[in-house]
Order: sequence, then C-alpha cells, then structure tokens
Amino acid sequence: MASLWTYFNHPNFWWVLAGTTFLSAISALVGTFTYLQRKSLMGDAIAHGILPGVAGGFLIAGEKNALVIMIGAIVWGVLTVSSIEWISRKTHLRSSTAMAVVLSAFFGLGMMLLTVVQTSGLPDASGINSFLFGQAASMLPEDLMVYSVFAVVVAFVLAAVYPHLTIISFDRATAESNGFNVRRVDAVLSILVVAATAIGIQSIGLILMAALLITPAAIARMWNSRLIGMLIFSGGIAALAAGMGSVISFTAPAMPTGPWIVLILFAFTLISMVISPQRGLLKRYRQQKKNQDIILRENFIKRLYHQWERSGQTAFHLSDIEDTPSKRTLRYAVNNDWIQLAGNSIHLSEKGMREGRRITRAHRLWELYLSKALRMRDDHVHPSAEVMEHLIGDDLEKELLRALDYPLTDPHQRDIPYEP
Amino acid sequence: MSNVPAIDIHNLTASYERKPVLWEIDCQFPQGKLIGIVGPNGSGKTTLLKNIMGLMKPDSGYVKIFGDKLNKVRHRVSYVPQRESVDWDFPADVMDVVLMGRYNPKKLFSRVTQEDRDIAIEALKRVNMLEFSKRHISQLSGGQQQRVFIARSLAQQADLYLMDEPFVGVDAASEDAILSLLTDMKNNGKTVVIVHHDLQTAYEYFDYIALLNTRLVACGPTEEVFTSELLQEAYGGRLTVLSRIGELIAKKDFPVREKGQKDN
Repeated sequence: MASLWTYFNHPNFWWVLAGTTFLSAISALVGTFTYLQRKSLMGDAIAHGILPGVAGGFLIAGEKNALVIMIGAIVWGVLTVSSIEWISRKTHLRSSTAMAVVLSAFFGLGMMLLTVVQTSGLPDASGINSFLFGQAASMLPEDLMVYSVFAVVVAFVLAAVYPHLTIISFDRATAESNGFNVRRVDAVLSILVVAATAIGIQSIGLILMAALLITPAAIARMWNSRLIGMLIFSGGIAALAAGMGSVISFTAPAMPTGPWIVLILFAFTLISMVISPQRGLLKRYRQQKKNQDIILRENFIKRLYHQWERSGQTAFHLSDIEDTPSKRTLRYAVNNDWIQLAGNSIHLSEKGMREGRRITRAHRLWELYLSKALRMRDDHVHPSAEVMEHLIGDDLEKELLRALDYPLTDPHQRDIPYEP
Repeated sequence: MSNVPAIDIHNLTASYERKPVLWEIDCQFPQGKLIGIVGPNGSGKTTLLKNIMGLMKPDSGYVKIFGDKLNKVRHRVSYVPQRESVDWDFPADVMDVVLMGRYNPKKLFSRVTQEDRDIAIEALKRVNMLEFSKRHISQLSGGQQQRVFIARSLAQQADLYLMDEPFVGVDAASEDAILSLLTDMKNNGKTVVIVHHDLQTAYEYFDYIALLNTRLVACGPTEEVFTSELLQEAYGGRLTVLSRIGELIAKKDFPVREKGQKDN
C-alpha cells in the first residue's frame, strides 16, 4: 500500500484524477445523445478524422501546446463532419460508407503528419504518441485547464439545447413540424461530439475515444428507462472508469491509459448484461425458471383433475400419477392447499380442484378458439393449448368466453368445465 | 370562426426521391370539421400531410394554413406522425413524451414548468391515460401509444391537428377513446385532418373527405365524395401515364416546373 501512497502524494495525481473524471463524464453526456440518435459510428469517424488537426496543431505551435492542438482538433473535426455530410448528400453513398471513406483518408493523412512531427526534432515530438492511446499521467495542470474550459463550454451548450436534443432524438418529424430547426441542432450536436472527442485526446487518446462516447451510454441504458437517469448514470460510469484508468496510468506509466479505460468499461458492460434489472441475463434466466415452475405445478394439478374427471375419486396414490411430481412441486401444492399429503397418498382439495378446473378450462377454450377462429384442424390444436393453458389469465379467459359465447364442449367433445 | 379555409392547397406537385407521387393537388379544407385524407396504399396520403406540415418541399404549388404561411401560424398547428415512425424503446415514460409537446423551439435553457405539467396532465386525462403517466412507453399497447401521441399533440393547444393513420394497429377501447375525443375536439371548434386508408370506416368518421390516388379524385363533404364512380376512380388502380412520366422525371432528373415559373 505504501507504493500507492507515493502516487497520492505525487503533485499531479489529484489534478489528473479530477480532470480525467470530469472530462470523461462530459464526453459521455454528449455520447448519450449520439447513442440515442443511432450515430454511434459518427463518434468513431470523428475520433479518427481529427488526427491531422492534432498533428497539424503540434506543427503550428512547434511544441506540445494543448490549446493550439485542441483548436486544430476541433477545426479538423468540423471538417470531418462536413465532408461526410457533403459526400452523402451529393452522392448515392450511404452515410456509413461516406464515414468509412472520410475516416480512413483523414486518419491516413494524420499518420503521415505524425511521422513528420516525429522526425522534426521539435521538443516533446516523441510525446505525440500519447495522443493516439492516451497518457493520463503525463498531463500537466495547464493542459487540464485548457481541456476543462472546453468541457465546461460543452456542458453549457448541452444544458442550453437539452430539450431540443431530446425531442429530435425521439421524434424528428414532430420536432421539425413543431418548429425546431432540426438541421441546426444536428450541426450543434456534431460540434459537441467533435469537442467531446477533442477534450479526451490526452487522457484516453484518439483511437479509443469513441468507446468513451458510446459505451457509458449503452451501459446506462441497461439500468435506466428515463433519459435523465441515463445521463446521470452514463456520466458517472464514465467518470469511474476514467478515474480507475488514471490511477493505473500512474502506477504503470509505460502503459497507455486509453486501453485500460476501454477495458474497464467493457467489464462494466459485461456485468450489466448479466445483472441489469431490466434486460439482464440473470433476470431472464430467473423468469424462465419461474415459468418452468409454473408449468410443472399446473400440469401436476391438471393431471389430478383429469383423473378425478375419469374416476370421480379425490384420493390418489403417488405412484398412480404419470410424470411423478418433483418435491418442489409437491411442496408448493401442499403449501397452497391444493392437496393434502400423507405418506404416499394424496387428497385433492377443493382449492386444488378449482385450480385444475381453471387450467383445463383454459386449455379447452383455447383449442376451441384455434378450431373456430383460426380454422385449424381439430387434431392440430392440442400442442398449442398445452402451453397457452399456463398463460391465459382471468382477463383473457373472459374474452375467450365472450368470443366463443360460453361454449359447453371443446373440439374433441369434452366438457368445458365451469365453476359450479 | 372565420371563413378562411383551415388548409388551402394550391396546385401542389410533390416527389419522393425525385419521382412525383402527388400531381397538381388543389383543394381547401374548411375549419371546424373532421377531415379525412383517404386513398389506397401508395396514393400519396402521407406525402400530402408532410407537405402541409412543411416537412417536405413541394416541386410546385403551395400550402396556406389559416390563410397564412405555415411559419406564421405554426403554433396553431400540431402534427401526429405514424406510430411506427419512432423508436418506442426510447428512454422516456408517458409523462416525458407528453411534455415534449410543451417544448419551446425558440428558447434555450428552457425547463418544464408547473403549468406545462398541468397542461400535460389535462391532456392525458382527455385520452384516458393519466393512470399510465409513470409507465415506460415501450410497455404500452399500440393503442395506448397512439393515445400518448395524441395527448402530446393536445398539450400543444393548437387549432389544427394533422394525424397520420391514428387508427392503425389500435385496439377497440383505444379506437373508441380516440373517436370520442375527435368529436369532442370538433365541437370545441378545432379542425382535425386525418390520413386514413380504410374506406369502410371513413364514411362514419369524417365530415369532409379528400379522395386521393396520386391525383386528387374528389374533395368535399363526405356524402358528395362517397359515390361509387369516385370511389371506383380512386381505388380502381393508378393512371399508368402518370406513373410512366413520374419514372421519366426521376430518371432524367427533370424539373416539374420550368425555371422562374411561378404558381399563382
């Protein structure tokens, strides 16, 4: 632990930590809107496309000057967006194709300029690689100030056009007909994405910046069903991942920061996929397990009811029942007073009878419905009814009864049992 | 209520991907009526609505609303797009969507006020959806989603409402709710224009009908439009000459009007 303390005491540590978390949170807020507008690829195109601006900024300043580089990145970013826009408007190319064309061309140009910088002998020239993959620990307080000022402006603009972005993300046509200037808001969002990408170039790096725009939003969507919650969550998760990334950047300075942050975000994504409350795999697994339990116990009580229909007996021996019920099913039936159990003998109670009758009724009503409404052949209706009997609740049963006008027999001439 | 038509469409020709799908439409819709834009699939109903709403630029002709350009009277007009045109998985609950009807396009840093909320609640009451206000929009039935859209439109407190196929994929309860609301709106002097493809119900629903099949077949009070000849003309297939010339225009990138020629 002693070693970690030395980092905490490092003069730049807290600066870098506070800076990267703030910058990442702002980028993630902008990214949330690109995610909602299905423009995820746009972030990637911009992130790669601004490389000539970064390298050009370095050449113009003649040193690693954050302000000049930032301005170069933003200018070139806007150029990237407008080129994509212009190509897809003037040709029949899809915008994803236009993006791919522009991003690879500009990235190629950027790599050439980067080589020029590296061989230029300018001070810090070797440090320019940190813009590709990020090097949080190498950021100076002055650099952070520059990025943060831009981030504050981004946040300010975002707050100004929040309703505009919201309605356009959900329903463009209505927004436009309500008088929103959709094209102008689109342009504002593009510039915001450019700025949000540019503020992260030193902490995360260009190449992986797109992940910071999109992944937090994707994670946040798994935990939130309203936009406001999504924004808070994505900002928070981005800050957390960036904070962890910069701590790692201090402890292992040889390793670029960007890959760490992206992998941390990816871990959060995987965790959310499993445990998120709305669409998590765990939730789905539990639901399926629950369905299976319902099917098993309802089939059990249905069988008892059928045996009673045939024999008029309410007492059975456990071994007489086809498909021996599991302990779990039996326990449920006993606890819910469907049956009384003494050793191996079962007594079907009034409540169990009602339950069996309900399921049987649902089954036969559905068979009749398939036969009448869908004109299915009578010998084809059983398999579907085996499932639907577990799904048809009171509402649907009432509707079926009404639609079929309270029928007495199913397609196989068996009685449809009503409550006495 | 003045005698100015709610909508005045003058010699409107409009294209979709450069192919004209509406030819020289010329008709007026009166105020305070339930008006149907009726025609078979692909007859240009939605295109006409989009041109009225300024979402598309016509190749020729113009539309006036309450005798004025759309931009001057936009606050008096409300549009309800087809339900399928948006992603219902968007992170919003019912209240959030209805409040969007209160968003002000001209204001920056605007926030929802208590008055906006009250208006939204009132709108939800009118479509019988208030109890669902905290429900996520993806968890609604098709008919309920449509009612949310209409509530958002009501929250705009407009005078003219344009709705694109509000009865498609809607359960019986929602259909009843929407219909009685429409009658209610009409009785309050509102004008409602509805794009509708079902002839059977069109006769019952609307006072006034524009019968469309890439050209205007008829436009007038329902009893006058619903004659067997006119219906036959609208539903009996497209005019092949029109669709042939439309394809030519698209292929050769030809204009619909000569340069400098004005519609008057």
